[in-house]
Amino acid sequence: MSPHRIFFYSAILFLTGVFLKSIELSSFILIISGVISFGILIYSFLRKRYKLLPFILLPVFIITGAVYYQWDHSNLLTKFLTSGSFNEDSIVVSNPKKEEGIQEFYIKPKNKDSKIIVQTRAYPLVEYGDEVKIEGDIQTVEGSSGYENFLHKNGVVARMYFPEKLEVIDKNKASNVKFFLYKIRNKSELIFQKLLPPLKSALINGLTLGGYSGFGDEFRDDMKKSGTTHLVALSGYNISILVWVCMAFFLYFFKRRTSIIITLFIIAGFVVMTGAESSVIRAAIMGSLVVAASYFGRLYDLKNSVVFAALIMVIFNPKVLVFDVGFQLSFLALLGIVYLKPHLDSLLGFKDQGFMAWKENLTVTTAAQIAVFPILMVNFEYFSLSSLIANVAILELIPITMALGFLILLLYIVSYPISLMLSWVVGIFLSIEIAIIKLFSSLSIPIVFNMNWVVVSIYYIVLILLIYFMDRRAYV
Amino acid sequence: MFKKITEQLNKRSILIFIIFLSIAGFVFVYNIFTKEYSNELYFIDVGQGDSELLNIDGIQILVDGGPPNGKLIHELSNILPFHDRYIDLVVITHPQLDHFGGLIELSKRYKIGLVLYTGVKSSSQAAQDLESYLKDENIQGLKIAKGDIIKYKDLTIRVILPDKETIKYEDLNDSSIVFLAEIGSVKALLTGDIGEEVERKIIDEIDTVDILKVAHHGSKYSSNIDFLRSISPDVSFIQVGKNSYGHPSEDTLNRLGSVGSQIFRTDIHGTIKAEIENDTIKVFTKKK
Repeated sequence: MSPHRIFFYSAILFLTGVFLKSIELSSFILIISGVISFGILIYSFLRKRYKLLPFILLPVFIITGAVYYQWDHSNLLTKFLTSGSFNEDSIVVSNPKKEEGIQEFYIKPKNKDSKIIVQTRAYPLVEYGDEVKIEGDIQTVEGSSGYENFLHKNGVVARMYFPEKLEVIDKNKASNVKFFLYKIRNKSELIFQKLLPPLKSALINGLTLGGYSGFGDEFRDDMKKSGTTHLVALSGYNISILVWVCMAFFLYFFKRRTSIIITLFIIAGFVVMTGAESSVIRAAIMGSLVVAASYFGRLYDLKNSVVFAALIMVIFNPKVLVFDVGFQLSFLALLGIVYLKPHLDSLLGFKDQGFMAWKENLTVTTAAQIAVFPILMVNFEYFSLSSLIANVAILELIPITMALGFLILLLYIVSYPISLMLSWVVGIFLSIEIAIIKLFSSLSIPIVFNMNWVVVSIYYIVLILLIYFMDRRAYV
Repeated sequence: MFKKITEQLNKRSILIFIIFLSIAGFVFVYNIFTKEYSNELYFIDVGQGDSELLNIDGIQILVDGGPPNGKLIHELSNILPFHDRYIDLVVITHPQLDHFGGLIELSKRYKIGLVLYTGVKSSSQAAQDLESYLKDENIQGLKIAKGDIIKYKDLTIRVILPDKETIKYEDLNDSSIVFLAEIGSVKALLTGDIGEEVERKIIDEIDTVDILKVAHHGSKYSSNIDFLRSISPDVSFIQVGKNSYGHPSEDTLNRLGSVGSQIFRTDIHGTIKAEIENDTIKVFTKKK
């Protein structure tokens, strides 16, 4: 077996180990390991390919994955805090989220390595890096629900609702870089808020910088029902638009090489300031591999690239595999588009992109939706059939909205009136997008289904087999 | 690679861009030169709190901003046209959170010309936050008191309170700014959170009014019957939301009814608009 295939299979097995331990199916680990070892044993004897015998040991990777996950989890357990009263000077270690009169942020006590999630009133306003005197009751986050596991994934072990006392006593006591980047990010959100009315500013803020803040419950529900929530989740798409805007802008002033370097810095800053979301990191890693492959003159293999990105991210944080929906959606959507879209194109007889790329958008959306459907059902218990049409209608407008959004931010520094007038222009696009989202929310055709991991597994096994056979047919 | 994309998109983008810029420019010019303004008084639904907007002849005067629950911004975006990001005057009747809380968010999103207030200081963190935000945005403040007059075309605002006594009252509510707005021949009295003792104090200073913003969200300790009889409002507006104080009280509602006033409330009617044309007042409500 060639090195790249060994890497591929061992990485998959490692991830499988992490997966099984995450969902506490440790017994499966032994079963699957046994099956694989035994299978390879039988296969190598039947086909007399004795060179394969060493690979009986491959399942060791599954066990490694499981052990790694367990090691990481026990590390977290050592940081647990008991429920009760809490009164310690702490540092704010996240960029606070503000929503309709409530602030939410993470703190870390000065003398412990534990993160606590705090929800409190709108004021006093708290910033990343603030040192605060805080007093209140905390409750241990046990890990007994999806949300609690999500908090564990973020390293949060306790929560505090509405502390009795909260006072900012010093500023910028955490990472200087993050402090600076978050300031830019928050200022950008503020610029949109100054130029546009609330819903539009929330939408363009979400499209360019990611995030769900400022929408209000009603519109968030509209996005869910129309299947358009993913638009405000960051992805490689945002990165490519940002790259395009930056390069177009900087190439006026600098040479190609300088522009690339500046742009790369901006991209890195962008990733950090928007909270380093899984979807963005995946895109960044895979994008780097494409560049590296062409630079080193090697062939780029998508399967390996995907697995490599997943591997790196899981090594950094094993909980991300099962407890980060963004991670799952991001990888599955990509795989769906790569493997399903070509078949959809041929099935539907699509050869060109179509008017305003509707054909392209339809097959991309359908491919992605087929791939992520079970995950959406398990986590959000909602899937709308009309979301396909909603996405086809709206997708073509998004790139220019995003690009204008970035442009407005750049121009605001130069001239308020120009950015104001540009915001009226983008306001037209935003109105159309908001109207589409509201329309398809009302036209929502929901599928309500009781999903569990068994159904999900069967779904994906069937899907993978389907793709495998369609691929074979295509090459015959 | 980028130069190529830039070239391809350049021609089409520039054309589209020019078209849209022309549209934007047209909107801009149209709004400056052809606007005919109406006179409106809005009682904004901010939940349990006060916020009124005088939209008179193209200028905006916002009285109080309600609590910090995001509602003010939302309602304002429905009232003001998208390109209007400027509030001429903001009046803070008294430094209590259900009156100024929403102004912090407002000062971030809108440009404010001037803030009018009593000068009474509150020690609350939120009040200090508001002060520092206004300072950050370089928004000037001006203290107003009894006797001050603000004039703009058909609008005259006469400040009735606070005076030398009420400004020293311990209860912040009683130190509220109270003013009479005359829009043409229509008179509107905005009362902040004053109680009946203060109402009795100013009975002789006010004739009859057409519009009354009922004091203190319809509390039974305000809207004294003698006061109401004296000013005899045609229409009364109560700004109130879910609360545990029993606002608005049955007594107050009865008193208002007994002087023949029509009553509108934001908890039932949502944001309410009183359109003033010559001598008529037309009331529009968000909910029926």
